[in-house]
Amino acid sequence: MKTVSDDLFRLIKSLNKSEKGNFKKFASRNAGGSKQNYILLFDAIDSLDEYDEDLIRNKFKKESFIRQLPVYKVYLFNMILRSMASVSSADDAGSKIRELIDNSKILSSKALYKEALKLLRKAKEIAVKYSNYTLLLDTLIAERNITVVVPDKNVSEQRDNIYFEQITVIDKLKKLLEYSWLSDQMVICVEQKGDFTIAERAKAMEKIYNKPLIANEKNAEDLNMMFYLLHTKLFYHLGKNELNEVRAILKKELTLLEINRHFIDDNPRNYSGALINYLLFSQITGKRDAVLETITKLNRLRKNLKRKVPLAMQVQITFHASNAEILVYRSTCDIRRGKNLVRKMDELLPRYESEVPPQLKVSLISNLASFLVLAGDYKSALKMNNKLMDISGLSFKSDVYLFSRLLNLIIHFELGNYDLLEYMTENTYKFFRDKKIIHRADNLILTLIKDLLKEQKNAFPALFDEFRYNFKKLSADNNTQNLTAMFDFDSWAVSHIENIPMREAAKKNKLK
Amino acid sequence: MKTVSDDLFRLIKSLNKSEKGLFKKFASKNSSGSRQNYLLLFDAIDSLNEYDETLLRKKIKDPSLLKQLSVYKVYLFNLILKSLNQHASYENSETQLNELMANIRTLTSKHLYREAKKVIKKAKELAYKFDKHKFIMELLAAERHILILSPAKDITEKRISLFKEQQELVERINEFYSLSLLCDRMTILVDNEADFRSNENSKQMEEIISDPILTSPEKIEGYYALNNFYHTHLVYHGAKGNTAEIFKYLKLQIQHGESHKHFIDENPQNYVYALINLLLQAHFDKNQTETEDTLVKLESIKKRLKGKLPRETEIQILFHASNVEMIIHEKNCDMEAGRNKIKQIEADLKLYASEVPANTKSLMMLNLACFNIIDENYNASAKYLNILFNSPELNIRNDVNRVARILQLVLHYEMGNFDLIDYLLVSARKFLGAKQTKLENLMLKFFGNIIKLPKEKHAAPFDELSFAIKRTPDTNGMLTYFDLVSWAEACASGKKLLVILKEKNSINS
Repeated sequence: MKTVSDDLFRLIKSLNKSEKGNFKKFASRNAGGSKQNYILLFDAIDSLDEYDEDLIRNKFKKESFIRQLPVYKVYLFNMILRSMASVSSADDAGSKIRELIDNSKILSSKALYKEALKLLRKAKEIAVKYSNYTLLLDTLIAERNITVVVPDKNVSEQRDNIYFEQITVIDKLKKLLEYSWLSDQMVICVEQKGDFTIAERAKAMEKIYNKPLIANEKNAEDLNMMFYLLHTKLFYHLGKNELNEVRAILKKELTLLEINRHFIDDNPRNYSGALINYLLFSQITGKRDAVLETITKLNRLRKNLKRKVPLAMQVQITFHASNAEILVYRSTCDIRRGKNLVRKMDELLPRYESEVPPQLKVSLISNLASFLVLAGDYKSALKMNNKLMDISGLSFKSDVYLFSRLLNLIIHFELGNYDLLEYMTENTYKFFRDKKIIHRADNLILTLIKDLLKEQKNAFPALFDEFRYNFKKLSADNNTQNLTAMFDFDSWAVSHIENIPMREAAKKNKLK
Repeated sequence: MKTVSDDLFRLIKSLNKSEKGLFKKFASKNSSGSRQNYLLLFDAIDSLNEYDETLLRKKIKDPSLLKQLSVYKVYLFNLILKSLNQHASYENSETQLNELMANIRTLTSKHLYREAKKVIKKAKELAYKFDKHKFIMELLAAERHILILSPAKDITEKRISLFKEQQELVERINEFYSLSLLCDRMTILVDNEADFRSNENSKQMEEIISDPILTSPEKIEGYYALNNFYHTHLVYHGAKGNTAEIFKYLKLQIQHGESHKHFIDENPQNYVYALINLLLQAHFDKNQTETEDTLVKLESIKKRLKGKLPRETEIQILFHASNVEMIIHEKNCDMEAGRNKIKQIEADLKLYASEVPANTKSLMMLNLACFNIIDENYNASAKYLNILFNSPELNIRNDVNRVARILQLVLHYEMGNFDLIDYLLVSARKFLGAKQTKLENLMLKFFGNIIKLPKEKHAAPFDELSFAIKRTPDTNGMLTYFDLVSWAEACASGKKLLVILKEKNSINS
């Protein structure tokens, strides 16, 4: 059973050095006489590798506070959060609007209504600029309160105007929620249930794509709606593996953001995300100029963001960029740079375990595992792939999970674990068959492994040749395209046909 | 032209002693090396009686501060607000929700989604309990954000349910805005425009009350929306003088509050006002049981909430209650009780000074002026009317000011300042403008004529006046503030106004 201890342990472990220091300062100022106990408990938990309550109780058996340990834990959890809120330098549009509304309320309570209205005007301007409808409604409520408390000659007209504004904002909010809903539906179709070859899902994607809100760009009344619209289209094309269209949408998104720089300053994460994705898709689609231009933009953004955004955001930008980089190195067979990046990720991933979003983690580890196979480092590839199987599943990133099961067989084959492989192949085949998710490409790979296990080594080239021939003949359905994007099966087959390292085969393939 | 200096001056002058102290502590902690300058500037402005930049510059000797005075003023304004913001942290659902929202943001940024979801659940319960639309909307957005970032098995079902919840919330907000508008429209028609018995306004009132959303309370979901529903009906029937319906809706409003006690604990203003209005209504209706029951409830709520409310709410409740008490003493002709109450009000006014809301204070001044005319304490009455006319912030209630203009003429007639009345008439005509009500017009004409006659010939015109007032519609409710009929009768008969009022009271009882 999960208890507050787990939460507290995870929270303490998620803090960086400076946040820990801030907490201690905060606790010394705000925790009265018992501050020492909180700091002691904090340090004790921080020193653990995994939460062990007996160890904690044993450590403090002579202290009186241990009798109230559950109370102390809850209080410590909340105190850490308070300490973080007190130092968080959130300076985004939302925080500014909230501060202006709060200040206007204070001024109203002092009957300084004109001054309060002045602040509300400012708050409204920012809320409109950023299309923040929830806070815009809050501003209008504050304005209404002043209007009825201090009625002037045109009070009826003013009150009607406020209502009209409220209704207009509500309509926009409703529309924005619909856009967000459509965008999420598409993301769920493509991203979370990536195995979208099932006819119903493809149909669902078409249905979303053809909705008037998405089909006609004129329906997007503000930038946020437009971003949702582009996001929906992006995932649609991603799901269909139409990579040039994906790239074009990313370009459009970047241009929109660059024209409206206040959106970048307010939330640089969206911009950096779009840049990274654009880099990736420019590489995949072979747009070399765009790759170089985007790397320059990314570096400029990183420099601009340093000290301006929280560490968590910097970490995310780093991992996103690394994911794009490993794809570039895999595609260009740049083993040296790729291995350096793997080393860097081996060091950074455990350190920022909780900071990296799960989707990104899955995607990054999958790309690292594929790269390691290409590089011929099968032991490291196996370690990475095991991690991938642990964190993905049929309910989350099913496409990656299914791929990892196939890659697992390939790695064991390369490691020569034939005895183990026989059992594993049968097991994997049953799994695919029982779940009714076996596609032609999956079947080909599983059959190849089975056949390889039956034959002597000298028969391998012929089997790989046949596999290569059949694999190429496969219709370019989404599953095959997905698999090919995750691993270069053709180069793998060539490496065995010609008895050369996979990286050489990939280079050869590239030259062709 | 209004500048930041006026704003700053008015803000500093609006602070009470404790707030000034808190600001100084806050500034010492939060404004780094330049804190001394802010404190100097604060004290210099605080020492002024009205804002005078030249005088201020003379008081500030520090050349560096003088050089950047305008920058310091803007910064000081914001610093004061920040300090007030920090110390306004009396615990209510909004402060709790703000803290929970901050916790959600922190936990989400650390990708501690499970923990964040737990806080979201807790915050949503609180936000729904207190009908806080903005927070519910923000919490649903946070929930959606986490769902997409850390997908669960049943992500589609969860996202559908979130979307439905968002749509329902939008409907609920719509319902609230519609009822709030109708309630405000009705209140504006009755309270501010006051001539609700005119055909046009009467038609508008009927239009509002027949709006489909006001026909039945059953489908109304939000606490505040339902409150607006009852209040709209209450104001409507109040304007129509339907006593039974006034009682009904006041009681419904009170019941609604009592069945949601947590709302009363958090913001007892509406509940207390409903109780005060019920007390007043019960008193006028001579319903002793209702009066006693309501008094018991009022006392109990006052005790329960003492020290738990923000100062401004306590002040508003205090003065609203005092206003009602003054009216009751005046209508009962209980001069002794009224005089004692005035002493207490004077003390409260001194204590709370600028913190008393302007609309409450202006009404209070008018009621005090009326009471003192009846009590023949004309100097006191003149004092309250002068405060009303000479304080710009008290000009906010047009209806109060219109009555006060007529009352001023009554007062100076009683004081025998006939020469002054000639002059006051000019200013009253100017203030009341072309759109005078019939009663206002009647009174202005009467005073224009009466001052031309010798005192001994006044009785007959007063007799005519009392007759004419009775026949004239009182479209802005002037007679509810001051009984002009009784006053005219008193002047016609040579009796004291108080005697006439007591006679009428005894006949009525």
